[in-house]
Amino acid sequence: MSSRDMNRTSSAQETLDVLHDISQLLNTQLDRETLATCVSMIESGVNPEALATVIKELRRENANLNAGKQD
Amino acid sequence: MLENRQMFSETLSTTDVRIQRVAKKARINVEDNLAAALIQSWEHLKKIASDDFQEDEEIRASNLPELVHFLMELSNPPMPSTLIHADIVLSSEREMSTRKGGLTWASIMEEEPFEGEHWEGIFPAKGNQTRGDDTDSLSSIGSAFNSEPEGSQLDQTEDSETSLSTQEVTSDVHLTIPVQREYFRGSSLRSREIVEGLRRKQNWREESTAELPWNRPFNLADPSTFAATSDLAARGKLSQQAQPKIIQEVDAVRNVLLLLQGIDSPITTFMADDYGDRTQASIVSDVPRLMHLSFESYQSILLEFCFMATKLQEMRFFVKSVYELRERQFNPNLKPINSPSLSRTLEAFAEGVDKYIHDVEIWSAQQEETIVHARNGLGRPAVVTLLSCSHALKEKAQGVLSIIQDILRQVLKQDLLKVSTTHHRRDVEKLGFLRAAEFSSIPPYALATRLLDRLGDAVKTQFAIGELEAASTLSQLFVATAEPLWESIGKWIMRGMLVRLASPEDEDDEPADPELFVRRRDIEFVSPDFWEQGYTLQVEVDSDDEEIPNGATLVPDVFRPLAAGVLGAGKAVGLLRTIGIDPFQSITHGGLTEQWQPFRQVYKTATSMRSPSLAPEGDSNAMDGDKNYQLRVAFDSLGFILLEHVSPWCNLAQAQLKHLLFEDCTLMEHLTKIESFYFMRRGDAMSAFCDLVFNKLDAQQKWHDIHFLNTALRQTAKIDRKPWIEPDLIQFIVPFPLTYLLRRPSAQVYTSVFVLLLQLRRAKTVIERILLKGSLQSEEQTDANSFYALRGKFSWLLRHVLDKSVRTFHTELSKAVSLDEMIELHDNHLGRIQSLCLLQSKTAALHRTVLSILDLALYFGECLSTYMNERDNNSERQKDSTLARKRRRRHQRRARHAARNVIGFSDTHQTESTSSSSEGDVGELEEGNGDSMVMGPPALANSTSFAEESFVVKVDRMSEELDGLVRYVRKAVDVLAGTTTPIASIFGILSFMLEEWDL
Repeated sequence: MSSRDMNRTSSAQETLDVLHDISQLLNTQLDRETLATCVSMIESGVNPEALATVIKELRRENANLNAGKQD
Repeated sequence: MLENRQMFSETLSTTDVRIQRVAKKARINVEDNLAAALIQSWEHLKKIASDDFQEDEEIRASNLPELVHFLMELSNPPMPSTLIHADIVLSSEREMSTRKGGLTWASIMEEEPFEGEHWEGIFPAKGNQTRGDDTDSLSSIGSAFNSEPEGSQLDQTEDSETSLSTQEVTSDVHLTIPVQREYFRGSSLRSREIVEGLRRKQNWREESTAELPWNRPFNLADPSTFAATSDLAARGKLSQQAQPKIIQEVDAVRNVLLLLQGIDSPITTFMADDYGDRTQASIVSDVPRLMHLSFESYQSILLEFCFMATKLQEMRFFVKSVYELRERQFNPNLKPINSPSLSRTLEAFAEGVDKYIHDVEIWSAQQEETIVHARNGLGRPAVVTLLSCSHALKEKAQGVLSIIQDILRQVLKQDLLKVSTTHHRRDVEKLGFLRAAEFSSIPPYALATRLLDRLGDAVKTQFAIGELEAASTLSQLFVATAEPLWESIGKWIMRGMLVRLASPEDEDDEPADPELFVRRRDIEFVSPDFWEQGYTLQVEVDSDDEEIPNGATLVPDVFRPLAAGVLGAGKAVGLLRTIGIDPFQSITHGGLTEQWQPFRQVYKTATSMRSPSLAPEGDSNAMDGDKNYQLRVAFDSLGFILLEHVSPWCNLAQAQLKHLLFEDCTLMEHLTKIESFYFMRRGDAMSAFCDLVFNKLDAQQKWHDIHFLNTALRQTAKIDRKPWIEPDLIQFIVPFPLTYLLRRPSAQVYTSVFVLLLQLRRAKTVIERILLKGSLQSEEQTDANSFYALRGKFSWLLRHVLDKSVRTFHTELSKAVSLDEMIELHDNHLGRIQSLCLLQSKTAALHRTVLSILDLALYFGECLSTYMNERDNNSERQKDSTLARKRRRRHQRRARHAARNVIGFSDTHQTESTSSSSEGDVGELEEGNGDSMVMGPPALANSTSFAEESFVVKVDRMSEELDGLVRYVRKAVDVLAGTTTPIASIFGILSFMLEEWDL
């Protein structure tokens, strides 16, 4: 790996760290891996608002599923 | 490119506004750190974007607004973990900026003195307030804010308003998490992972997670599957349940140890009782579970601990209430007008309990320390379970705590029972929640007695059942509780009783010790009754504070053997001090070289003295048993050990008082004088005195004039070369301290004996006078002789018995060690004299009979003298009457001898009234003769004139009456001789002598 590549990776890592901090401060309940995935999706052109809606929908479904299991 | 930049800039500014709004919302919710951290992170992100981002980066700067927008869409209200994260972000950022900025004290000092503003530079969040040349990042923040036209002004204002608080909060955070800061020296991600890993292990945190899942199929080889299976079985459904919070048993034990120390834990909490104090330990609703215990068994074990913790907590609040009451008592600012008084014994008891609770807390802390050491591999391996902890706790504390609470409740209950027979809710509360104020209604001496008695009983019981540990703990508590009372005893002996010499203003100088078992009554010091009744042992009182008649004395059992001695010593010391003598001035002369020792030291000496190691070495059971036995014996005999300790002090005081009485006040001399006069022990002199009195009587003159008596006494005293009596003695005047011994009620006894002896002498004189005339006819002389013989017998009895008793009394008195003992001996002596002189109430009838006999003698003498006069005048008539009387006399004698018939009659005698009046006029003589006035024999209104009845008839009737009376006396004396009293033998001799009557 060239030094430029290393710098790029380090910079991306730092950006992701700060984004994770903001994510934690906003209490988005996204872990680091999920956040990385979401960031890459947005970078790929996914509408962030739509993505957020999908995640919320998935969470709601998951909660319903868990409630059904408990009963 | 330009368009992109423009677009980026606009979007970035919009995002800025959104971030600022979120931060503002956080500040409104008083979450300044969160706001600061959010702004800081966003500024940091922008900085990275502006510096390093290239177009071919993995994360493009142009996408930052979209990314932040995405995050904001998913944002939720902050949780505690969010706030903690904000703290971490702030502290790590400060760390980095400190290192990066290189701000040193030298540079600070070189700059202009903007004190306080230097520190603002450390917090880039408030960059719009800091000077722009501090850091690059801060200038970028400022430009970012400045680029926002709307709302920025408001934000700046808010920032300036909250900057100070933010700064303070931030610096606080900096101080409170130094350890966390250490983790962020390296990679921040790694540090956070470490911290989060550690936090997950902390069972009291919400985010702590179990290592194993809860819902697993039951496996016989895996105990951790039992709890879930048990729950499933209990619910009757096989569906899976939500994951409960799980805790390891070792953590549960640590929580239990916290509980015992009165601290809330994740599994238990303290609920408020009716007083609003958090004393009731209970299990929390969502208690973390143990994987290998069913809920029921887990709850059962925890409840045991809760009971124990509740008891401990109740006692903590009891101790606290005692301390608060004490604080109120000694602080005049806090003391209300009707503040309840606090017994020092209760205070000492509370201190003892406090020490014990402290011991239990130390024990709990040590247990926890052992667990932590074992867990970290520092100490010995330990098996930690709830059950083993429960067993250890039972051995350590349970029995003792229950006993202590039981003692307090019994003490309260006793008071409630005394006050009323009905029970109210308030009473139940008193018993349920022990507080110091509830004990204030009990008098301090009663409280001390009850507490010590019950504690002492508890110690003995624990020794008896072999609970050496509990007995030892309770005995320590007992010693601590007894300390104030022991100190009071010492003070009482040293200072003595408080004597008020008629100066009412001094009354409040030094109130009597309310703890002590000595009760002070309101009797004047100079009163003869003061010594016996001025200070007495405390007795039970009823609800109206009136003494219960014949109630038991309220003295703690442990002090009972020495109570009387202590009371006497205090009285003796007080008397001596009043007179001006300090009994303990030359304390070394009495063998008392030591000061008054504390109770714990006396107890320690007693137990160490009585616990030698008799068992062979190495036999630990035998040693324990032997030690147990020895301690038990030492505790049982503690009262006598204390008596040994107190005796030298008491004896010294009593010896000084005795010396004062015998040497300085010449007690024996006064006593001899009194006895010489009142018991007529001075034969010749008293005969002369009596003759003077009788002459006065014969002359029908008033003899009971005090001046006449004084003159007569002075004359008789002159008969002897050495004056043996002072005229004052008739009025019973003796020097001051002797009044306690020789004054009332003893004076009454002396006078009553004197009266009886005087009556005897009077009868004797009259009869002797008849005999001297020598002209009586034989029958008449027989009767006179009978009188004489009987009187002689009584006289013998009284004289010899009195003499013997007096001598015995003198011997005993010289051996007595205390004034109390002397008073008791004197009272016993007088009681004995009273019994022998038939002056007690049970022998009142006999006394009356004897008086009747004496009166008969007087009456006979008078009749005879009248008859002699008439005979001289009318010899013929006398002859006839004599013959007739002879015939009747012979006839009656025969009949009497045949039938031994008792025909009694009594007479109202002129002489009796004379005698009675003669006895009853001078001072105390009057009181002594009260009975004889009332108890005269049945009256026949006869006079000495023979107009109605001839002399012969009168003599016959007298003879019959005398016969009846003597027989009655003999029977009564027989009965007295048959009793088991010490004086029965003397009455036996009298009874034997009276047998001659029938011969």
